Amino acid sequence: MKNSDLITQENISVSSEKNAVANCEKDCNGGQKNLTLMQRVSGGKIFHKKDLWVYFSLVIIVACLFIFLIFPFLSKGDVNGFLITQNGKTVLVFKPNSSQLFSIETEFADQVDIKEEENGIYTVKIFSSPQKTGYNVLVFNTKKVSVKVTESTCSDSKDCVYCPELTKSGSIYCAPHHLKITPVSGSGFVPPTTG
Amino acid sequence: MEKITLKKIATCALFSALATISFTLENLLPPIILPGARLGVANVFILLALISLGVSYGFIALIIKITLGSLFSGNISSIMYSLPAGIISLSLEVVLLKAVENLSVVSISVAGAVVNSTVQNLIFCLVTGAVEYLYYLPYLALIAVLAGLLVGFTVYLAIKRIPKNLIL
Repeated sequence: MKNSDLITQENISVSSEKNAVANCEKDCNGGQKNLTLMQRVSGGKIFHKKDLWVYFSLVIIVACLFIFLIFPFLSKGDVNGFLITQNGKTVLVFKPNSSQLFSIETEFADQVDIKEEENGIYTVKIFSSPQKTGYNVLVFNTKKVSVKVTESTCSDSKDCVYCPELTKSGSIYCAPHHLKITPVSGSGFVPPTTG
Repeated sequence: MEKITLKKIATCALFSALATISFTLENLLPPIILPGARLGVANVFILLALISLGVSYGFIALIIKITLGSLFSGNISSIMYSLPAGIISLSLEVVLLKAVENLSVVSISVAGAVVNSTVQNLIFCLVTGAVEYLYYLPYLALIAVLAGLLVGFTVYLAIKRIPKNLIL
């Protein structure tokens, strides 16, 4: 190889490096695109100016979600009982001011166990299947017209037990047992409140 | 496509196990104010797997956390609405991380948390027909913002403290 060829090759490699640096400065904005995710995050700060765009768009999304609160423009009727359904089928209807306090569907007669406690409080055990593999214990109050799930074998999280006592509005849903408790009123649909 | 090495597979398995354990333990605690609202500590490990190992490892950790966590906590039906919500939120986090430069991990975590809780609640209402739970959407989103800030801050601190010789 001739010396002139070596020199020419060196010039090419140096010039290509310079071009690469120039391109990076032009297009890469500090070379972020060439870094791995780890390098980018470890080199970053806890707050950047561009974060404001993310937070602003989240504020708009949350504000839009509040539209769901004005969704039921139906009137709130007086709650006169509760309807308990399992897999969409009616299991039990609780109406304290009617002649029959509990009306149980014949299909679910074996799966419902009612105990009368003191002062108009009733403890109802509803099994999730005819084989009685799991259950939910509901406590009905005829004076307050309320219902609360006190015990459940659904899962570790027990969201139905942690739901607040159902009085005028809302609903309680036990997903693993497909059990739904909704208030019954004149208009039929009663919107829930939080807390 | 990231390189597949034994080290990365083992680290991904560790992150998946930590995410599953924290998800299962969190389910034993009572929810924050609203039914179904939780801190989401498992997302710390999923974000760490995503950032330190790669996109595919992050998704693997997420799928393992949701499937095994739901099985261990006894609520198998929650896979139905947790899995799509998790995949959508993690995809959004990946897009934000890769496409947008100069974005902090805290804001990405908050965005992922809000999307996760919203999508999860929407799918739950659609599948179960319990339309009344749509009312919890804005309140769940607000709790998700707080949870996302905590998770993002934890991930940021963890990544800053990882020694450079341990980076895979």
